[in-house]
Amino acid sequence: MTVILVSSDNQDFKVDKEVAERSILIKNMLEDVGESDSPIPLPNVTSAVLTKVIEYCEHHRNDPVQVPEETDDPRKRSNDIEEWDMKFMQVDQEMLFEIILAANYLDIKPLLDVGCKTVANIIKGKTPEEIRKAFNIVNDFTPEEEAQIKKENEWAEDR
Amino acid sequence: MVKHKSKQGNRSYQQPSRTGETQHSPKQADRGEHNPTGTIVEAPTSFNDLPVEIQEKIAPFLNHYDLAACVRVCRSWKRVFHRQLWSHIDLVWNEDDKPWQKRVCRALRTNRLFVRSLRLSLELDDLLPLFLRQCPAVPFPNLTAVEIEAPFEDDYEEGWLAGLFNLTTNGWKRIVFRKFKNRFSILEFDRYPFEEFLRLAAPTLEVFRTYDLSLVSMEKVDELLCTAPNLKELYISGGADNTPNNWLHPEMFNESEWVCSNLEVFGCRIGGIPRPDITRTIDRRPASERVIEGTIQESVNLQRQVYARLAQFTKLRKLALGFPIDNDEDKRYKEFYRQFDCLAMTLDSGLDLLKGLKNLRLVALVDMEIYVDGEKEQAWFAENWPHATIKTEDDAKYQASDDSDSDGWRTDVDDDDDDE
Repeated sequence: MTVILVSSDNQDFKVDKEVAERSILIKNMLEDVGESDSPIPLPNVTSAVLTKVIEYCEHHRNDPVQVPEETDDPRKRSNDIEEWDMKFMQVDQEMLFEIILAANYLDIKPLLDVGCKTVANIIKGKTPEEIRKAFNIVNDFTPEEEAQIKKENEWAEDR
Repeated sequence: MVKHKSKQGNRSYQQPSRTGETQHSPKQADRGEHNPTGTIVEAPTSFNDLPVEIQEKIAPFLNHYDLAACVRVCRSWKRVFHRQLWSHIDLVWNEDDKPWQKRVCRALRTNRLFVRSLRLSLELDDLLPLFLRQCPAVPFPNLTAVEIEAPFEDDYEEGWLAGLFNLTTNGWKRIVFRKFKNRFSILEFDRYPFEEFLRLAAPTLEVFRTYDLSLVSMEKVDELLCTAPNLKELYISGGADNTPNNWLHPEMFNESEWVCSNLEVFGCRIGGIPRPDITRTIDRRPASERVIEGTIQESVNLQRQVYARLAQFTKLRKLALGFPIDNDEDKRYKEFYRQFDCLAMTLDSGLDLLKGLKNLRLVALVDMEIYVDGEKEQAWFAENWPHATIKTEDDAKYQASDDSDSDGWRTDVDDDDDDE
């Protein structure tokens, strides 16, 4: 069985129901409307992004449902991204953030997780200045303010 | 659970960002053969376009060094990451840095509302009372998790545990004690007022772990199992000493009224079982010198009691009954500490009672005299515990996987910071 997804720029994507249901949003929609052939509009996702998202869902169509995270461990790993996902995430930053937004909207938790891990891996090991460069961010602190913040957080700074 | 953020609006999506390639054919897209990149030119989506709730999801993947850098990037990043940085405090306390410690404690007081978990690594035992004195009473209303790494060698002064207990106002959910680096130490629950500490913490406690600490009193563990209804993880490693105080006894399985029905991790030695089935020569002496006397029937009866009680922990993901004994390669030493009064983990001894534990992922039976390698048992494992890895040898891999599996919050920190 297939369903038709319609991107924000009005393109139709015909995908297997099983693939589309990787998105909890779509899964719930399908459950709500029951048997129906009517296309599902996704006004928040462009065709370029939806193409990527569908590629991900196709690859992971047979994955078991994720076991919920155990207790409240404050720290999680980001170095456990599987190889296919790593390659899949090799896109420019803009597409990366678009995928994250789409995964959040469509409620595809594993994809959202991989996206967040990818962003975390860009941040890791960098100085504030290197982070600004990596994400094209302007420093709006005065030097005094930045020094003050560094002092307050000195337990977490490299010693 | 991911929330839809339809109400908040999708900042970046409201601009009709348009792809240059409009000739996508759905069929192609279907097969996922397209790989469009960089096609959107105007209003590129950036980090700051992500809703705060997603930005916050990135923080758990970062350690405190990275978070400290994030906080200094710009004002909007500070708003997101400051709270995250202070939610998990990880401190290394040395003897010779008093002014630094004072400043850190002052900053801790300022940010105390954010603090949710605290990890303290103490080079010396008397640094803990010192730390506690510098924190005001009841300073962290949201703190529920604590991990203390210390030598645990000296006698602590009276009341230090009360001081630690009172750091939170809402009760502890997670308590971890760990031996400092490679020092040998003995942590006796009777020697320190742990009893009181655990008794007070039990109603809210979800995770209790001790690492590499010997002589943890099983009476207290038994008591905890009776008084901690929310307990999900119990993990007592170490305890290589062959004294009765080191094992949970079959009678406890039979008589104690354990209330923790949600237990997911059970890591604790079980002993005191006669094992007349062991007949091999142990350390060049007859087995009878090491094995508790008893008939096969007595042995099986006791084991069935234990299996039957364990079977009630239907949510178990990890069952650790045997732990690697130090790193000593001396074989005689190994034999000396090997457990010969443990469950046999065979179908003949009642293992089949555990067939309902379908969630098991890891079963650790290291340095125990067990006979799980029989054909019957192997077939049984494949059928009944399809997802479980069964560890019977004290190999480096086991130790590594043990640490990452059992104590997720340290793994990232370990990976990144070991070489600092």
